[in-house]
Amino acid sequence: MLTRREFLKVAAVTGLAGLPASGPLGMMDKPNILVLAFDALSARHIQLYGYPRATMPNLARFAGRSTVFHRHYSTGSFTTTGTASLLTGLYPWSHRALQPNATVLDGLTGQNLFALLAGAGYATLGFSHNLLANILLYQFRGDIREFMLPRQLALVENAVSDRIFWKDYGVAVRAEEASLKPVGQRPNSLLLAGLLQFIQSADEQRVLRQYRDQFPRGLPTNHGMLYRLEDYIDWTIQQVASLPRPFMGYVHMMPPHDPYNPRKEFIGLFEDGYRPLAKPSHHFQEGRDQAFLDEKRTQYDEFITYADAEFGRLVDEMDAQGRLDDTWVIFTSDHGEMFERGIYRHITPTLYEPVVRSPLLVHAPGQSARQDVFAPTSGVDLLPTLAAAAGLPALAWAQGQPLLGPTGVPLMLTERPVFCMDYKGSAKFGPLRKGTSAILRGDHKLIYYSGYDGFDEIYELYDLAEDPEELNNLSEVRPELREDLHSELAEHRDAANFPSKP
Amino acid sequence: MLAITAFAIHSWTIFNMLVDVPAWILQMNLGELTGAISYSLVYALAETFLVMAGLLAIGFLIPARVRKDNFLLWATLFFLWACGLALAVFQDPTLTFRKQWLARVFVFTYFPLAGGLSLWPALKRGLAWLAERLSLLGWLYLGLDAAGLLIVIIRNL
Repeated sequence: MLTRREFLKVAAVTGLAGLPASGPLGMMDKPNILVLAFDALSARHIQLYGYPRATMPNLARFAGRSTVFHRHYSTGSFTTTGTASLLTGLYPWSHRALQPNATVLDGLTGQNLFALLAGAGYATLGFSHNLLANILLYQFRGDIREFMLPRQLALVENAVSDRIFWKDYGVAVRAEEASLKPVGQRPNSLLLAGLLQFIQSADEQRVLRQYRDQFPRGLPTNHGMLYRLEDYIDWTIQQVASLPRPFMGYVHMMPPHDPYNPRKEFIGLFEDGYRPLAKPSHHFQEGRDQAFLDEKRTQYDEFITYADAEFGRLVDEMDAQGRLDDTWVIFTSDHGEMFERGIYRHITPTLYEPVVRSPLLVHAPGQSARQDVFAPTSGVDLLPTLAAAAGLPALAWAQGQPLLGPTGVPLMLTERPVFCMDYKGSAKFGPLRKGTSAILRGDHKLIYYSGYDGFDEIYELYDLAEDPEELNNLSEVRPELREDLHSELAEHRDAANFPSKP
Repeated sequence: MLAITAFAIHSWTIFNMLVDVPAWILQMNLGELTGAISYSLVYALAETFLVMAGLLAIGFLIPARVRKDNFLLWATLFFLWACGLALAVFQDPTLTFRKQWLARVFVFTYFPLAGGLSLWPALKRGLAWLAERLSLLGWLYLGLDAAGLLIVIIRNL
């Protein structure tokens, strides 16, 4: 229950943000929801969040009619963990999709965004361009009305499991990945993989020739599929126009995930001599020199700009259709990307800001002005926020909290820690022994490494207000704060942890 | 011939699966793990039949008197050599220098050895002895494939 003062505050904010007033929601009044997740998009590479390059002008335009969350964190550093948290509202130590290609615990299969909104009368749509996230969508397919496969819009593809072993796709695709991966990656079935590659190569060459002028660096690729983001955006536009109301769509686009192959007009956009702040090499460095990382950073920024252009096209089209007046549009990512400390991309046990800071922008139906939220938020907040947007009651099981009220007013966030983690080295059904976890509380961030050979029980403590680049480790200078944060981290981890298979 | 082919192909598959299985154990329950291994075996079985089809085609092209004497031994030698080459190639993560170098080694060693089998009875006897034993393992692998195929069918019912 709001106090009179809180009510007046909310009313004032609502007016300022250009949010439409709203009464109780009937079935026909329920707003549509469209979640757009762009894979591996780091908030640290977006001008809206302080990056010096203008990588996302269309997102900046969209921000003018959205709520911008300035300190939003993914729960993990790669697709599976981050996406599973977006879809379940749980941290990885609870949903347990800890490794690439993993799924959440069987007992949680029915506890997801699609189930929640399908139960509230929504027509649900699930699409992931990334096969790792696609495995999760497959797990939730019982609650997804329109489940689209990435290959259905690819220009060239050689998928096997979803054609032959659909009933057991979640397991079959993992064996397919091991058996039929490219010959250079040592597939388990060398000849079969080589044969498939040979068969595909003719098609691939034809398509590459066809698009050479538009994509001089080559077409974007993903798990053997060649694609153009344009086709997926066109499809999304079509779905938004044709899905029954109300709908909830989760659309997970591959760009700007590597390889960074944008359209021609975005190549060379950032020949500006920009050099990021030099940072010391980390224990988990991969032997990448800074010149290599800077070059890749520039390519990544170009690829982001390509994704932004397509995102802008989608938003403009939705606007023209009038869909921005009756649809919540959420722009976010599953994790970030990094080009520093000798580390390239995001398959890393580290949890530095570039790899866990994600964008989060939420446009409420009819919103015409910008709002800014500076409190730390997490990927686990998405599900409770969308539940609130759909007019559903608070969820006891979700580990996040609603960020906005049903009309799009930012809610007063309770003082709480936010967590990120990487437990690739720990078992799904066993205790979490090997991994990295981080806790963010106020301006402070503690990163804790445990169970690694030669890097066990290591702490890094940063004051992000004073040291946003995470260069000054305070763990020895402020042991009391380190211990306090570590106890809180351990308390939450242990509450979710289990010693054996449940 | 089938057993020798199965042996060579499955040796490669199982050797490489040793890398995948520990990662699978971290994220799969027993049923899923059995399923994933079964799919890998089914792919190996498909690969075995594919190679067998190729060998049969070659067999039809080769004159009967030549085929009768040495074809099995040539195939055994080919698989052993090819497996060794593949393992050696993939030790080099860049797959650049060694790939071409070892391909030449293969071509320049396999054909003289295969051609010299008749002239070198000890090698021929040794290879025949080896082929006999390896074929036992090959049949064992084919038995595992049959179980894998059954599991895959059940999982997809």
